[in-house]
Amino acid sequence: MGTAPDRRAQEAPPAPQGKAPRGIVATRRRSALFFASPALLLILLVTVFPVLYSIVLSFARVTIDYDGFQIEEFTVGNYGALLQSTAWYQALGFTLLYTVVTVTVELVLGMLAALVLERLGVTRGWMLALLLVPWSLVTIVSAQLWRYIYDSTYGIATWGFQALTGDAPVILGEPVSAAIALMVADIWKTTPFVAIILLAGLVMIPEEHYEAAELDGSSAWQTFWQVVMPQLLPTFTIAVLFRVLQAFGVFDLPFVLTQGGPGTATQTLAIMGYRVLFQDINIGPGAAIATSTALIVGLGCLLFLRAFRNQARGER
Amino acid sequence: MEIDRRGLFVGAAGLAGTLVLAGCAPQGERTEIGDWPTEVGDEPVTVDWWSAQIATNDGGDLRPRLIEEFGKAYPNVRINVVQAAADTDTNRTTLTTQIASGSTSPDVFHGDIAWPGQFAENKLATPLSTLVPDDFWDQYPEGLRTAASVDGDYYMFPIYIDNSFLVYRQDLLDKHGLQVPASWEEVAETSKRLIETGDVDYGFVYQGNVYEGMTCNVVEFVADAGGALTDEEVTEATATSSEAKRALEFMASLVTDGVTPRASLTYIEQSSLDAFTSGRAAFLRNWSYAYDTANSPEASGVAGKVGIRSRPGFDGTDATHTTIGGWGSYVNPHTRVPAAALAWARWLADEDAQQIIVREGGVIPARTASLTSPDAVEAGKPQYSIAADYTLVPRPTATAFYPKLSQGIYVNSNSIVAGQSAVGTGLSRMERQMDVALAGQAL
Repeated sequence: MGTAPDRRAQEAPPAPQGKAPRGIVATRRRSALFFASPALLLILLVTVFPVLYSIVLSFARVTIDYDGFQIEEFTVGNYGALLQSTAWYQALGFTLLYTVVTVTVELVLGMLAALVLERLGVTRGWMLALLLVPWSLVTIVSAQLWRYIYDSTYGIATWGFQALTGDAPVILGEPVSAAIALMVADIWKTTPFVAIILLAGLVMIPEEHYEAAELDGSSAWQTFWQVVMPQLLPTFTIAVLFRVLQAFGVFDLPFVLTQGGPGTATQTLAIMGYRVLFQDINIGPGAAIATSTALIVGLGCLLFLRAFRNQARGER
Repeated sequence: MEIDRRGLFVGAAGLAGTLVLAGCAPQGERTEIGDWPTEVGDEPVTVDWWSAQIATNDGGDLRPRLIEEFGKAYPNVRINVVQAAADTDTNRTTLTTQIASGSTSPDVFHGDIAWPGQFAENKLATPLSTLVPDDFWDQYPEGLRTAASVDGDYYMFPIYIDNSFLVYRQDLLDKHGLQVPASWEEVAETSKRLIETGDVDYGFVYQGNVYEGMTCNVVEFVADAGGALTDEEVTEATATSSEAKRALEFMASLVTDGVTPRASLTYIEQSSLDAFTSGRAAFLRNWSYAYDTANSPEASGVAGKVGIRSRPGFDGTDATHTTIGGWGSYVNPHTRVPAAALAWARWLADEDAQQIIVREGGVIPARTASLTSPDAVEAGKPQYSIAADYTLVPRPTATAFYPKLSQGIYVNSNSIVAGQSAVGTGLSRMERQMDVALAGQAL
């Protein structure tokens, strides 16, 4: 949006090229608003309003009677119930663990893949296309495939373990192996996404920087940490942000693979919110789970951005 | 940009506030359910019927046939089929949000037999006692009447039910000169002998995953032992009873003795059926369709080698128990065509429709007399004759908090059977969690 010229500018010779007079700016703003208003209204209705209404519901005791949804009273009791619920702490703990492990492993593997891809010549396009196959699969479909792989009767993973150890594990039936199985499926699917983001950052680093480092006698390890990483940090930060946001809200993968089980061992906050809201028809607490999840991940991302603010903006 | 963003936020907040106020405001007058007309008038009306396929004998859809027959009795009522989702939970989610928002459609919806408690509490289904005479319900078995009612009022017209059966490898029993087991103890013993012969890897398989299917199995085994997991009013858990202890001890012993594979603790209906149809298991507990699938050459490697019987009891008991699956019709309390909606839902549950289900359907009719009618005998389905003698044991669904109650059952029983908890400790925890659920305090 342009800014109106100040008083000195009005007294001075004609405005520099590119700056429009105040009247034209106002007209432009009005037309911009007019043309953007259908889209803004749509966003208001389908994004902003549901989010705000969900926050309102999280502070309400909601009942359903023959006249539909009723807000009986406003209360902080829903959040109190969360704080007293062992299930919520378990879901929070598992979601945090899931996010930290999957994002860390995906960043390491994605970085390795990106470094290899960057050095490839004509085959890079083909390799990129191959790498994108897991990412391009709809999660529900890939989760179903992993379910077949882990199946305790005919799954190939079960068969492999049995061939190696002589004992057929029930992969999705034990808390630890189910959690690992879930993380493996996520890492398989999402590492290519991280690799491609990081590759985009890598190819932006000027070749001269590598040459200069080489002339200075820098080892590959030193070049990576002192030349590549500082310049890659903005891209890296964005990759972390994207992945943390996705991983913290993960729903489809555990929904298909484990349904949050065995027991509630792999229940993420999103699965718990869905269950409380739609299976138990417990609207207030369900909205509180959704709101608190968004708040936690939002705060986490804000703190992360604050710490890496310059990198995220690409300033060095 | 700053101003625009703020404007957007203020606008959304205003909209949210307005709708919140609208939500709190009293809504238009509506007719009390007790005053609903029950006679269908002469005006043409359309009833929106949210339903999933009702299977015919040959795997087709029985709904068009039922609608056609209903049209002969009620020519002024047009039934408009609204296709339900394939998944029970997705159906519940959609119906809950739609009806709780006051939607007048669907007028009648196909719903799970486990829903009455939750739908009654949240006013998502119409109470029927003032609209249908008391003796109407006498035509259904007691267990089904219990499942359809909450606090003495009915909320669901039964359409068809499902029972669980024991499906077994008749060919292997014949080969080794063994009898069809008459009790659970014999199932375990016969399983061990068949595993020793090397003809099967597993003895008895069932749905032991951490989900509703495990609750069904536990409810049945506890009933076999002569007990129940809650009191009759479903207000208090009784999971530490000696009967529950006997049932869970037996289920755990099946795993430790190698009769039931640990894999069974991840099985749902299809995976347990796969273990059986692939020839790996000798005995399977599953719903009525499993017998037909296991004997179908297209779907099974053991077709033609399979027998069926009721779930047995423990040694020394005669009664056989099955929990109830199946679907019924619920009437939307906001319907604009109450008389026609009631007529359709009631007709589906009554004799004419039930006899069509017996003759042409691939499911078990809800009505007792239909199950033993000459049509049923002529149909020649072993599931019908077994079902007629079953004692139906409903799950404790007559509570608004059934999903959490069931979670307390299946999570802890899975843990006990897997050997992760001792039977006593696991049952105590189950009872505690069930009581918290029944008090509405579980999240």
